[in-house]
Amino acid sequence: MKNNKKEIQDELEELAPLLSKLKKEEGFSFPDDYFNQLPEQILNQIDFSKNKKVKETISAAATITWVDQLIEQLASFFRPKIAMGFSMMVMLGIACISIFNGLNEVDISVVDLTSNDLEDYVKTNIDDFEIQELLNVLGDEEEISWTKIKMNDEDLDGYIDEIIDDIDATELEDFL
Amino acid sequence: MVNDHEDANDVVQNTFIKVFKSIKKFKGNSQLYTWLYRIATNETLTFLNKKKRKATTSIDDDELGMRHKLSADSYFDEKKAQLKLQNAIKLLPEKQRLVFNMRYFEEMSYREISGILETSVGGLKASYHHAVKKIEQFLNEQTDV
Repeated sequence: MKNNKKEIQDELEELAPLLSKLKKEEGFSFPDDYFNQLPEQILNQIDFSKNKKVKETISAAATITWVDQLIEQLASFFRPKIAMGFSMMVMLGIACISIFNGLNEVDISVVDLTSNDLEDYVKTNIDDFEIQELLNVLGDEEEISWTKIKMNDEDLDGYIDEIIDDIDATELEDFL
Repeated sequence: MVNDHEDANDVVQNTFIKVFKSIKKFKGNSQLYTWLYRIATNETLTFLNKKKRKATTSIDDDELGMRHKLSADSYFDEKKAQLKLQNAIKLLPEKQRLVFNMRYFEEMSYREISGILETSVGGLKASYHHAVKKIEQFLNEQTDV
């Protein structure tokens, strides 16, 4: 606006010589402390209760938006493509968990098995084992000192009968 | 633009209240200064129109009253020899008074005034020229007397 000063003065001199010579003063003043009191006077006239309502409305709008977003996100799971993808992910997740849990169970069972458990398992599944294997294992685990075993004739006959009963017919033929 | 300090105070307060309520409507299409000035101008004109409607006196009496009011206003320094000029300004039509105040006291360019009053530069030049000529004539008459 300062740049306009000369242009305005030149224009004024041309249009009104008397006015252009007049010292430019508005002559008006304002009361002391006027501008310190003005903000309070203005604020007293503003109805802040309306602004509170506006604030509440804005808050409510924000809540609705948040709820809407949540519902929208949940609803998106039920859209066909997304639902299919989500289902696949869930199935893969369950499969992975099952596999890892299975591996863990095997590890735990091997660690936790006692010799009694093993004996029970062997007795239950004795048919799955070869006699030679059992004998070898038995030979490795504990050497039977036949000379130290004291048996009478009846016990010995019974023991031999048990062995014969356990041996297959073909094996018995080969043995004989 | 208005007659005394009390009127000016009312207009200032109304202007700031309007600004407070309408600040969300300001979209930055013009300068904030221009926007504020436009609100102040509109508030001033609204205030003057309301006053006119309430007034029951004739135009001549009103002009006389305005001049008397200016002399009686404790916040106007009569000794500064501006009374004649202010009295001349008071006699101008509102639009010319607005344009004269903006151009003469505020030293605004026609383009700036155009932004505030939303009037063409040509129209503003015409208003200002008429206003200046009338004031010059008034001052000449007062000097002769």
